[in-house]
Amino acid sequence: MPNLPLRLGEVFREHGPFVCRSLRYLGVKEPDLDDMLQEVFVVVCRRLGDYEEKGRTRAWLYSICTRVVRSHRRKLGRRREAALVTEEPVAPVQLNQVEDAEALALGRELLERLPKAQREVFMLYEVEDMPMSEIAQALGCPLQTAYSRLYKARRRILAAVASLGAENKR
Amino acid sequence: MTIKDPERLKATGQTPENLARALRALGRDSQDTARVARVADRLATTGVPPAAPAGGSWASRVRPSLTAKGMGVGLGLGLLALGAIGHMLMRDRPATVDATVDQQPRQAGDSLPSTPSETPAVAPVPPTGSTDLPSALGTHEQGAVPTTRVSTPAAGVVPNAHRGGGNRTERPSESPISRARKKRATRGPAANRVRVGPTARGAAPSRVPPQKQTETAPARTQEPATSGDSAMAERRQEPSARAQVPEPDGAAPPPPAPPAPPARPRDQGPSEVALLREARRLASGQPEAALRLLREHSTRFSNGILVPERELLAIEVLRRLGRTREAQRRMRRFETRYPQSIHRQRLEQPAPSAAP
Repeated sequence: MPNLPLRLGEVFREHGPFVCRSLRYLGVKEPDLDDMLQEVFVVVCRRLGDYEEKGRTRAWLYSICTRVVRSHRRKLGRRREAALVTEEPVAPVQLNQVEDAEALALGRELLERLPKAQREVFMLYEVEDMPMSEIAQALGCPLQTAYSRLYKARRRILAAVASLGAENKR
Repeated sequence: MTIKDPERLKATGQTPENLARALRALGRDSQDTARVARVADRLATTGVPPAAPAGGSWASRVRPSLTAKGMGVGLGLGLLALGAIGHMLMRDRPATVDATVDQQPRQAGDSLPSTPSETPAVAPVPPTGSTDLPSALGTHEQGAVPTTRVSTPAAGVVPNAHRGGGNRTERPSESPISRARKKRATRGPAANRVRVGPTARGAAPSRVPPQKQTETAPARTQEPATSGDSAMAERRQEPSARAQVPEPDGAAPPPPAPPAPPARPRDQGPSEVALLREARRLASGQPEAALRLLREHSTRFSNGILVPERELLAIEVLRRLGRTREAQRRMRRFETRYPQSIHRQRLEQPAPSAAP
């Protein structure tokens, strides 16, 4: 990543995909993802000087994502503009890519069934492998609340998977 | 007491296989890596806003805005009080108050037309509206939707509707630009051709008298769409194709085959990103050279996907050179054209010290 300050480059390299996924699971649509990602990293760049490394970079990044998305929503609410561009098409070419694409589609569908608060915890814990204490910090909620959301999300997801399996058998 | 985190679903053996696979797939979305690289490239080209040094410059950045807000609130209260006083006075002398109120919209309206009248004269860059998006999509090597463009001028574009001018959905906020566009259109096709066509870039110009051009212009609709690649490609091919269309009343047979379309300018010389990156590199040491490169960019990539970034850099370079009036003019145009751009924040930063 040329011309970027060193630390920003590191953050970009290591956590860029995480930020991207987080934005998506926060409800940002595909056409807006590039802009949102850029905005997040512009904020990251400004705030890197104040950030103290405590091994919780992802929690910090996630909180930035949350704020950027909230601000984006406010703007969208003001503009009341309908996005005409649909999701980017996925064009898998090989068998394993097809399987991956199917699994990805299933994962996204399952996540969309969750309420936002539960989805955040579930995604950060089950997909991003973040420890619960870090998740609670990122979300600004008590640890017990985070656990409670995780268990509820798990129940919903497992029920959804079971119902999908039943539908497929029919 | 610390609570041990529960075992993750994808690690337990009891989880359904499809769920475990879905969770793993969610964690490695290959599209995201490409997206990150693209945005990193964009940030590197645009230039990253200066990182805050330790010691709370973030706070210092925030504080002025807070004080500005405080001042705004104070000002608002003051105006409210003045309004109340004015209301009381209006009972006695309504005519004077009405006159002052009437003048305000007229002044605001007077200042507006200055933008379109300046735009064609100054603009080295044709306005990039919704028409540009399909061409950018078709020609950009990464094939990504440039979302700055999507969110700013081209938000209302239906991707498949870019033929036949159906894509010219313009927002009311861009009315000065559209007016300038119309003005350019009324100047006749020749003006547009000189600006857009390949003949303006040093190739042998095909001189056709203006009368002939107007005669052959209707025949354009009968021409088959040869490439169909993108609207941009069509526009580039139009001048040469139109110059070879025989006159309608002439009995001459049609020409055997049109020559191959001229090579696209993007294939000659550095790419759009490379050009802007070089310009950014030169901006601090050799601003004149940077400006030259930016001019080259505006000629070769008049509808490129990095037009906002180019404009941003041009404003910065002009400021650095001390050409503040030019920079301000360009900045006004930028704000009109990209009202939602995230770069506007950078433009509001104080200008760097001007060159002697």
